[in-house]
Amino acid sequence: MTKERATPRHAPLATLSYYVLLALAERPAHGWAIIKRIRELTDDASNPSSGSLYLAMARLEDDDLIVKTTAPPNEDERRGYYKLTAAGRQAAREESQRLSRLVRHARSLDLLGESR
Amino acid sequence: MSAPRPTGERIASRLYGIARYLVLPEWLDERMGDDLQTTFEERMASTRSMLGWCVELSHEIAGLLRAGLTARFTLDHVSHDVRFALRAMRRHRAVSTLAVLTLAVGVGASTSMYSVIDSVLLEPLPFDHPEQIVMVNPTIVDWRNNPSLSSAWQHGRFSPPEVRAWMAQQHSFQAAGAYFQTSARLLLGTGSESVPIVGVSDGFWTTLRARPAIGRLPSKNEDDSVAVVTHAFWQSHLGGDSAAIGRSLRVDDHALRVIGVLPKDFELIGVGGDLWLPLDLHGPELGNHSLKAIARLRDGETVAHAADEMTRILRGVDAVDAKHPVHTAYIVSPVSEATSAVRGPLWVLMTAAGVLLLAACASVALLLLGSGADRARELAVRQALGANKRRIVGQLLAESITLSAAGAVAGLAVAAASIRVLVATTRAGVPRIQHAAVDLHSFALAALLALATGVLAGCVPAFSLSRVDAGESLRAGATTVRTGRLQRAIVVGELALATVLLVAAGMLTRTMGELQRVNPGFDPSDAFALRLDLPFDRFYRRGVPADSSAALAGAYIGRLTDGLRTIPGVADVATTTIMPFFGGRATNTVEPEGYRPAPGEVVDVARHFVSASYFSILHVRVLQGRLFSPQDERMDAGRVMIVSDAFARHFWPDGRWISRAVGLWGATYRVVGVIGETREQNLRGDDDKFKFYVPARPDGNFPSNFLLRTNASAATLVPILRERLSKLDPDIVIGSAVPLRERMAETLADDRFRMRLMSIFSSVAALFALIGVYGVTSRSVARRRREMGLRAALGAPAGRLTIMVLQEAGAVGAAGALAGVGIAIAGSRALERMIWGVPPIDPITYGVVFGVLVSAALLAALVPARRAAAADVMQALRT
Repeated sequence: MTKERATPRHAPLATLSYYVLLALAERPAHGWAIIKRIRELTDDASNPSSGSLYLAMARLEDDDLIVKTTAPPNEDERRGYYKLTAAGRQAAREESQRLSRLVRHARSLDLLGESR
Repeated sequence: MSAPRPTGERIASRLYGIARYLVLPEWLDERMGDDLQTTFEERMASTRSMLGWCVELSHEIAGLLRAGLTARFTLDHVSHDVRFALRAMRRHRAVSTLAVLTLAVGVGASTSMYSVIDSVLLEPLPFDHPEQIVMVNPTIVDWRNNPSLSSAWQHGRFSPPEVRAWMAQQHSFQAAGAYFQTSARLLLGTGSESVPIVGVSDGFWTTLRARPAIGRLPSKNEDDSVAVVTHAFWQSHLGGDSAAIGRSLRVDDHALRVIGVLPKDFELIGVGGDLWLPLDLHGPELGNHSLKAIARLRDGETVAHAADEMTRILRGVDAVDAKHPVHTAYIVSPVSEATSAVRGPLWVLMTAAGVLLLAACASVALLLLGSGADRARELAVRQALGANKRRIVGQLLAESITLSAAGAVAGLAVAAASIRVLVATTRAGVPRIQHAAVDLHSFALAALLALATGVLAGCVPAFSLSRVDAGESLRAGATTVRTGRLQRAIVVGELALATVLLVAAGMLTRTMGELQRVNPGFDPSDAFALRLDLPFDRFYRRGVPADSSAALAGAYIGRLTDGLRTIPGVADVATTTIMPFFGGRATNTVEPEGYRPAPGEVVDVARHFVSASYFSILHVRVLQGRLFSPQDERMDAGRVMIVSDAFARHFWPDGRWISRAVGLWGATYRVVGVIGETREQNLRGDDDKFKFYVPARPDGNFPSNFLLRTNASAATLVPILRERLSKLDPDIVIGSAVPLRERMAETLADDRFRMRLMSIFSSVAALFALIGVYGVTSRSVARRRREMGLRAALGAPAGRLTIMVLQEAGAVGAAGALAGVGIAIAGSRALERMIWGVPPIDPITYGVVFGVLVSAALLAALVPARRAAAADVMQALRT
């Protein structure tokens, strides 16, 4: 088990984990803010429950992709804020590139419906 | 609609908190719980409508459940907990090993016993709708009230006309068939061997809905020159290939053509043979009452209703056979019929194994409670250093669950091994035991009980511990008094369970002793039992007149007897139709002179054809008159009879027995002698009491049992017998050859086996209980060291302290033993059929068990008691 953790297990990332990384790539945030941001980013297609979100975040934290941080000034200190680590940013980049390659491929197949 | 806050929100928030606590694994909840709660609350607060609020709430709860499940089954964390538990187990190696072993014994014993029961009693027959298949028995009504009849009449036999009559009239069954079992000589290229044979009528195969593995089954009215063979016989004698179909077998001078092979799993419990031949119910008479019957109930038909109908019909067909006039039908499943002798004992042993499992669980609970108490200080330190209470509880739980699981797994291995031992050590007579394999349901149940024990016992110290103020615990070195009382209660329970098993074992041991002391009414010390399969069929060929056949067979027996008599070391030889202790039985209706049977009474008496020296070889006691002489065996001699004591006393209470007349087979026999009671069926003496003996005369009913008077052992005699007999006639097959005394001891093998198993169970349970007494006493002494030291300091003599501790242990022991005696008395009925010659509530057994257990409890407490006495005043006060 420990061995598994040494090698990155975030490729490809679970969808929810990717959303979390995307949300946190903008700025450090707390749980409720992350959920709201994910809803916006996905046009309400994804609406994670608090439980699912924190399980995903616990794992991201285990993998050192996100880390707990202090609340920004003028924000509620009761909330736990999270921010991306360098590894997290890297993982988000890799996943985005992977998705981007897929989208390019889809475009070449005219699956995006752009050339009307 | 306005949003349901703030009350609704507060409740939802509280509920979510509880759900979180229950659903999430602690590693997740501890890390994320607070943030999660905040997020949940913010989310709920942001919802405006009542409907949306409900949707969000259900979404959140479902998500929480999903997350909890996902997180729990992530291997990382499970293995983390288990690793933690294993580490803890290593640290407390002695306790852990003891607990695992204890659980293994309990789980193993109960699982293996249940597996045997499942195989022997519960496994359905391998036929279509096996629950519809029943055995149909005619029973002489009120055999219990007929002085001359024994319990063997419960399972009577039919005559062919009776079977024909009831089969034509009945409506309860969709199919029915009759059968009888015998053996015959199978002639092989190399010699001959005796094979068991079943003759089955039309309807037998349709009743079972049996299909052959290869070939076919006999069709209706097929002649008796065909045979169906079992899969095993096909493999061992016919090469196991399809060329076997059509092969010819020579059986008792008949040629049989093999037409089919039964499937490998074909097993009609209680009915077995290598060869299955068609039986013609309309053929020549097959002996008066030799047929048994099976039938298949119609859909929806009940056994009770079928029995009513059959009773009515059978009473109507009495006219056919006036000798056994009153019938009732006794209908029962084949499995119950074949296992009637072992069912009771098996369930009793199963119960004993279950009790052992309970005792094992109690024992483990004690161990865990004890080790929890011992570790109170260590845990208190951790608590004081800021460890989360829940974390400690969780770890204790993980530890005891891991322990229980290890015990259960070890129990599985114990079960597999014990089943093998049980199967290997059980002799014939327990049908289907060879199929026994670990029953996973019962294992799961036993394992669950073990786990529950672990969880509960792990919980109790954990919770009571966490309630204790850490500081106080550290200061006083005191652990919870609460678990002390619980532990004593468990020890009392353990002692009670052990008492129950010890009483059962004691009763069985007493039974064994009584059985071994039984005087069978004869002295088998120099008798040797030789049972042969003789080629009588040689003398009864078709077309040979019966008289000359009988003369030939009689002369053959004579030659054989003479040949045996010339063997060195054999002083005398007798023949008998019924060899004692081999289970044979035959009866005849007789008319004792001057006896008027009560209305409905059937006078049917066990019959033995014996030669003159039968009684002298067995040293049977003569009460009146004389024994047979060789002259009585001559064809021209007067018809004489020897009767048993009970026979003479019942029919002629005036005591004048010699020369009384007995009507038998249309002739008159004169009683020349009366012998004392003999037990020729079994030592328990529940066989026929009314018996008559007539000389074996060369006019039918030829014996194939020979009693030799010799002191030779089987090892020395059998090779000589084999050589002599094959010289006399190579077709003779030796059925059994064993000193009669050994055979009689063998019939007690089942009783001995049960006694041993019960003794093992009870000893182990007693050991558990005594370990419990020891453990609880030592802890109680340790806990009260301050008090002891104080008392010693105030001048209490050392002996007083010892006595004080022993008094406590004695009270616990007496309470447990008394409770056990109560339970044993309440359950004494269960043992009734397994004990013999001992009262059901035997004061000796109960007294001894009580005394032994209380003394053993005192003994177990002695070491800690002496430690109490040796308490060092200063040290005790310093802590």
